[in-house]
This record gives sequence, C-alpha cells and structure tokens, in this order.
Amino acid sequence: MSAAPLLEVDDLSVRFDTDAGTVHAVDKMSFTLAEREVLGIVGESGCGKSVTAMSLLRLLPPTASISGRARFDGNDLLGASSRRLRRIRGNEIGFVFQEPMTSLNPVFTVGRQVEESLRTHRGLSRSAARKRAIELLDLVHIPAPERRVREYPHQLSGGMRQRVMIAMAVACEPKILIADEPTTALDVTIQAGILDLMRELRERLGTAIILITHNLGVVADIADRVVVMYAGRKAEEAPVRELFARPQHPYTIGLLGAIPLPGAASKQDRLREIPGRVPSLAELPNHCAFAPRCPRADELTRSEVPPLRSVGPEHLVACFHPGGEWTQ
Amino acid sequence: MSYVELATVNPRAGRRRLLRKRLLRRPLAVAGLVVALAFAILAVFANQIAPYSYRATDFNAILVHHSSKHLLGTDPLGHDIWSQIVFGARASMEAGVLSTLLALAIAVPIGLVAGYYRGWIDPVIARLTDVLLAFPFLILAVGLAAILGASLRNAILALGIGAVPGLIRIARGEALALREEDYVRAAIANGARDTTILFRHILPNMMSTLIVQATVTIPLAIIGEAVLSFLGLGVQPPATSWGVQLNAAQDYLTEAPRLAVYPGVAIVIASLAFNLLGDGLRDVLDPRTQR
Amino acid sequence: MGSFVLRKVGAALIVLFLSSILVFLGVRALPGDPAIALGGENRDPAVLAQIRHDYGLDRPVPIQYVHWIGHALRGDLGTDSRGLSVAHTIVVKLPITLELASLSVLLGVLIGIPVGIISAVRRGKLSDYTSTTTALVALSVPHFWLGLMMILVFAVNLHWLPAGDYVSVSHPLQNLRHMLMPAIVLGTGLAAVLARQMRSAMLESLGTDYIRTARAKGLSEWSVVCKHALRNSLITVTTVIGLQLGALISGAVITEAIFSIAGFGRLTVESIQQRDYALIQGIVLVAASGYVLVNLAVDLAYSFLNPRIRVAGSRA
Repeated sequence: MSAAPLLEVDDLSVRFDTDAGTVHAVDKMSFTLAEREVLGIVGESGCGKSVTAMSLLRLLPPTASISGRARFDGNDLLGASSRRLRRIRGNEIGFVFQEPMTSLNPVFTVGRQVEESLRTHRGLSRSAARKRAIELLDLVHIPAPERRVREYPHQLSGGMRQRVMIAMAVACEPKILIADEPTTALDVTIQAGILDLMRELRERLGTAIILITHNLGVVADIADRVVVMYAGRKAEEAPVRELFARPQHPYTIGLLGAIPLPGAASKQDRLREIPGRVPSLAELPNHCAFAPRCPRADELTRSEVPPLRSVGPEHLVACFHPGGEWTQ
Repeated sequence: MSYVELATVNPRAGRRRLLRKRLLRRPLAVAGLVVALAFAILAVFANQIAPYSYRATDFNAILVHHSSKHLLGTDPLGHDIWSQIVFGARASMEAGVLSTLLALAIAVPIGLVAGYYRGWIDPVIARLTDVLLAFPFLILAVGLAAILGASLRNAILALGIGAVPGLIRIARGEALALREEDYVRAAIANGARDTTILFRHILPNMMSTLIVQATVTIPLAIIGEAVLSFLGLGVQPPATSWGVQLNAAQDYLTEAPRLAVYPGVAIVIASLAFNLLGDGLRDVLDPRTQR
Repeated sequence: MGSFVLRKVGAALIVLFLSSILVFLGVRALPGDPAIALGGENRDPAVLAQIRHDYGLDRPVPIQYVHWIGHALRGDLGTDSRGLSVAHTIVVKLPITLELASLSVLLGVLIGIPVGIISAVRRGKLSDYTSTTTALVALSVPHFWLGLMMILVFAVNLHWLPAGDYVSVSHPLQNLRHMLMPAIVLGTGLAAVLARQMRSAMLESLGTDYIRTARAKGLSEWSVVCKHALRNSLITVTTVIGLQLGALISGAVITEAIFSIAGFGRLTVESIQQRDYALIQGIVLVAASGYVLVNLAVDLAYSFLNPRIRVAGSRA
C-alpha cells in the first residue's frame, strides 16, 4: 500500500436549503481511502452517508451547499472544474446507486447505457464498445450477455439491473468505486452474490471501494475499515475486526447489540433496541448528537461536542465516555 | 411549536393555512385571483357599475373617441363602449362559470362511477367518451349550439356539455388511481360501504385536481362563448357579450379598430387571470413542488 | 407489440363507427326540414316529396344511415344543395386546410419544443419566467381576435402582408405570404401548449434517478439533457400533439373565415349556416375520421417510442 491516500476528505459539511429551513445533513466529516482498500460507511437512514458520497461527485440537487476539502489522487476534488469533474465521473470514480429499479434509463437498451461510458471516456467505436460491453456484462456474471445487451431495463430483474449498474460503474476501470446501499433493494440471497462480485472486482481490477450501508453484516463481510456515522457526524472509525471486537461508541455498541445472532438465544432473549429516534438535522446541536438516546449521557455530553480521540491502533471515537459494555 | 401544541391543532386548518401561505408566495397567482374576482364583481354589479345601460343608444354620439362622457368612446349605434364591456363581462362570466359548473356536475359522477366500479360500465363509458373526444371541444359546442338554437342559455348548455367528455376522462383517471390507494383498500377490507368510500375517501382527494381543472376550463368556456357569439350562435343582440361586440367590430376594423381591441383585450385579461390562478393552484396543491 | 397495435386499430374503428352514427343523428337533429333545405328555393310539395324519396328521407332512420354509410365507404358522399358532389368539394378544399394545418404544426413544434426545453433547463431564471408567462398569455388569447389584430397591424397599417384570400401553391412565394399570418395565428396556440407540456415533462425527467446516473457517468450536460431526458419527455409530449390537433381543426374553421381562405374550415361554417345537410354530414365525417386516424397514428408512434410497450417485459 502506497503512503499517500487515494482519497482524502477533510471537514466535509453539506447543508440543504429547504422550505422548512436549513438542514445540516453532514457536519465536518473526515476520512481517507487508500488504494485497493474497502471502506465501509455505516449508519441508519438519514445519517448523511449517501449525501457524503454524492457530494464528492457533486451529484446533489442545487439546494445543497458543500464546504470543506477533498483531494482525489492529490488533486482538489470539491473545487474541480466542470470539465475535470466530468472526466472523473464514471471514469476515475464510479458510482453505483441504491435503487436499481429507477436508476436506469427506460428508453435505452442496457448495452447502450454501458457503452456510453466507454464511448465517452475511452473514445471507443460502436463495435468496440459493444464488444467490451458484453465482456463487462459477463464480468458481473449476467448470463447470456450477448442477448442481454440488446434488452431494455424493464426486461431485467432487480438483481440483474444492479449488476448492470455495477458494470456501468466499473466500465472504465475507475480507481474508486462508490457503492451506495447496493444490496438494500435486493433479496438477501442476491445480496451475497453482489458482495462476492465486489470482492472479485477488487481483486481483478484493483479498485478501492467505498461501501455505504446500514447493514453491519455486509460490512463485516467485505470491508477493511469502517466509519460509523450518526446524525451527520463521524462517531467512530476503526479497522473492521477491531470495531466488531472492541466497539467503543455507545451507538456502535447499540448497533451491534441489535443484530440478531443465530444461536445466541441464551445470551440475549430480546434484540436490544436503541431507544429514541434520530434527531432532526435542522439544527446543529452544539453537544453530543447521540446524548438524548445515550445511557451514558451527562452534563458534559449535553453541553459540548465530543472531539475525535484515538483509543487504539487506527481506532478513533467521538465520545466522552467510550469503551466497554453498554451499561443499562 | 412543540409537539404537544401541534397535536391539538386541527389538522385541516393547519393544511389550509399552509396552502394559503404557499399561494401567497406566488404573486402571479394572487394577481390572477384578484383580477378574476374583479371580473366577477363587474359581472354581478354590472347594473350599478356601468354608467349606461347596454341598450342605451345616443345617435348624437356615434363612433366617438374617448371623451369625458364616454370613457372608451362609442360604437356605431351610440352605445357606450365601457358599458358594453361591463355588461359583456356578465355574459362571459356567466358562460364561463356556469358552463364549467354544469360540466363538473355531469362529468364527475359519471367519471367516478366508471373509475371506481369498473365492471362492464367502465369500458362503455370509456368508449363513449373517446367518441365524443374525437370531436374537438369547440366543434362539439358549435354543433350543439346549432342544434339548440342561439341564445346565452343554450350557449352555456353547449359549452358545458362540450366540456363533459374531457372532464369525464380526468375524473375517471383520478378515481381509477385513488381506488388503488392503500387507505381505500383498507376501507374496503373493513367492510365500508361504497357510498362512504366514494364520499369520504375518493372524492375529497380528487378535489384538488378538479379545482385546478375547473379553473382552467373557465377561460376555455369564456373564449368558447366568444367564438359562438362571433359565429352568431350564442348571445343574440340586443343582448351583448364580448363575442357579439367582436362580431360587430369586424365591419369597422379600419375605421374604428378600438371596437375590436377593447372586447378582445377584456377576453385576454379575463382568461389570463383564470389561467394564472389555475396554474398557481396546481403548483400549490401538488405536494411535490417545494415552495 | 402486435396485439397492442391490433387493439388500438380495433378501438379506432369502433370509435369511427360510433362517430359516424353520432354525426348522422346530430345532423338529423338540426332544426328545420331537411327536404326544404335540400330543395333550395323550391317549395312545391311535389318536388319536396320527390326530394324526400330521392334522399330516402321517408325511410326509417337506420335505413337512411346504412344507405349513407354504404355510399360513403365507396367515396360517394352524395350531393349538396347545389347539386355538386360533396366528395368533390371536400377533396378540392381539404388540401388548403391541410397546408394551413401543416404550416401551423411546423411553427408550433419548431417554437414550442425548444422553448419548453430551455425553460426547463433554466428553471427559475428570468428566461424561464418570461417564456412560461408568454406561453400562458398566448393561451389566453382567442385566436380569431389574434387574427383580427394581426390583420390590423400587418395588413392595414403596415401593408407588409396581404389581408386574406388564398393563392395556390403553384405560386409558392405568394402562397406563403398569404398563409403566414393564418399559420402564425394557429401555430401560436399549439406552440404555447407544447412549450408548457415540454417544460413540465422535461422537469420531471430531469429529476429522475436515471438522469442522476447519467451525470454520474460523466456525460456532458448536453448529452444528459438532449439525449437522456429529451427522449423520455418526447414520449409524453407526443400524446399532447395528437390531442391538440383537434383544437387546431376548430381553430382553422374561424381562422379561414377571418382571412377569407376558401378552405375546409370555411366550408364547414358555410354549410352549417346554410343547413346543407349532405355537405355537413360529409364534412364532419371526414373531419372526425381524420382526427381519429391522426390519434391512432400518434398512439402507434407512442408505442413505438416507448420500449416498455414495444418490447414486452420478460423478467428472467
């Protein structure tokens, strides 16, 4: 692994101007991604993980304001010119969206949509692009790719559409693949296949992956490092094994406690839920965002924002009272 | 507002306030509303507002340009043009509003029945509507007016019936879609009676679409009345409407163009007002638009 | 796709059939005794009786209908009150109106669609605001009044364009000069409707997930708008064009009257005013049939453009 990270995100904040006021979706997120690394970003719905990812490629609606810094391959990403951005999108950074049912254009064939990236970024001719598209569909394990290439999205199942999306995203062999909840809309059985595919892509193409999900099981399966987000802020970050073995943030501990484990009936009769709800992102609280739901909350956490502190090798936590079991 | 307060406030009133706020944010729609109301007032209080009766002729003041006695001048028979416009507003507004209401009264029940009950009655209604829609609105209206005879009342009937097929199609479409909504299915599963479902669940949810459609049908009817009268199939002189005035103005186009300009401008402003209002309402009532 | 086409054609035929019945009955419902109208000036009872027999007016109505439709299908629409063949009159006058309609549609499409696209792309900016308001104003203007005003300005005051009449296509330049104002009058309404529909359809397309995907692929903005979004929006707008043709026909009726163009529209007005039943029947039948056929063409075009209908989904 080379020393300089492929992607460096520093103090990224995203604000939305809506009818009901300003919504602070992301507050000072920082993380890095090294080559060939798989980074998992975990959190529940609405915690800002998708927004973080989409802000990197400026795929957010015009009501969004982005601040902070991001460097990709040593160059400024957030401030990149439109031309440079277009060259990065789909070419050096690929994006896979969450909803395969609506993310493909219904009036163009699947093949044409995959070929588009190739023709735009690699200047391939029609026939060369067609050939490569078939190879790509094969790469993502779509059976009978020569036939599928001429079909329309509505003729494919959800799982296959997701594979097409992945094919589209890796067509130009990008350095980074960002996958936003790639398996959420799919059955569990299909899910395993998609994850295997991602692993395989990392092996064969050497792509670094940012995997966004609310499913800790997926993260355990495939990630090297994990970032846990809560209410737009980073709560904890650690290598995957370390996170599962020694979770420090009460939220992470709660998340792990809420995973149903087969055969653990003796140790936990009920799934432990985390009481309370995700806070509204309309105001930036100047205290720990998790405090209202945290059993360890006290004066300190209700009046100050906990800074990120190191609690182990490559293990960071934003908490005043990290560590140990969840004390009820 | 804290959670407790929100819960005790009447949800309907809250929604109405939100809608009013959204409407006020759209100055064009508000302008349309104000102008439409102004025309309504002109129509209702024509006798009080117009300085002269529409029948009053003054043969000493023929084709006068603007003067202190006649704000907009007079026509070849000595009628005061401004008064003509005011009384014309009455005929046009009557035609516009009444024919639209008539059309709604006929089309909504039919569309509801077709869309909700489906069965054998739906394809029949759909085919018949298609046949009627094969004839453009104005052609239908002209044909009906020719059959019924020329008068304002018949013009209103003709325009109303002409608008029915289009409104049936919309009402039917709405009923069809709303029928599949979860809360309707839940009501059916709970054994609610058909009439209850129709009046409590389906009809109220169609309201916004119907209101918008009605608001944009009115200008079509106003223009329709003008066309009918222009062709001699609507209001008959000495009764007046903007269409009648335009018809009479044709012969004097070169001498006194203002005879054609004023009624026409009146039609444009009235239609525009309703169209702006309708557009604004459409945006306001659509939950997907943000402001 | 085959069954879809068949169904649409079948539906169109049914509608045609029912329309013809409607036309037939509607004409019969017009006030006045048809025999008198058909006989012209002649009030001699014997002549009237003869007319009644010739036209089958003493037969039961259904028989009359069959008689009429049978002839119509063979291209014979009877003779009008002056003894001229209805079919011939229509055939002579129809192309004029078709030319007017085509020019108007051309104008409407060339102006309306680009304006709609630009408004959608520049949503919220001044150009969007002005175009949508202009479109709305254009919709609120009665076309016959617009025609009168244009004659006033361009013919009477400025003497740039002729006030009316029709010059045949054999003199193309003159023909266009005469057709320009009427085409603008009719085309304006269509342009306004198309601009609004196009804007609305484009806004909807541009907000979809697949447009987001297209941007994420690094496609140029032009490609995103004009290839991905436009293709989807055109599908929606196609149906609108079909519906608007009806309004175009009714608009042509009055426009021809104002501009003194002796076309199909003017023929319609005259025939109604003169209670010429044979002519009215023929005219309305042709008009309705034309409309139904055009809508059928639009439906088929729609199904061709929309892959979801063209290719049945087979989810493997």
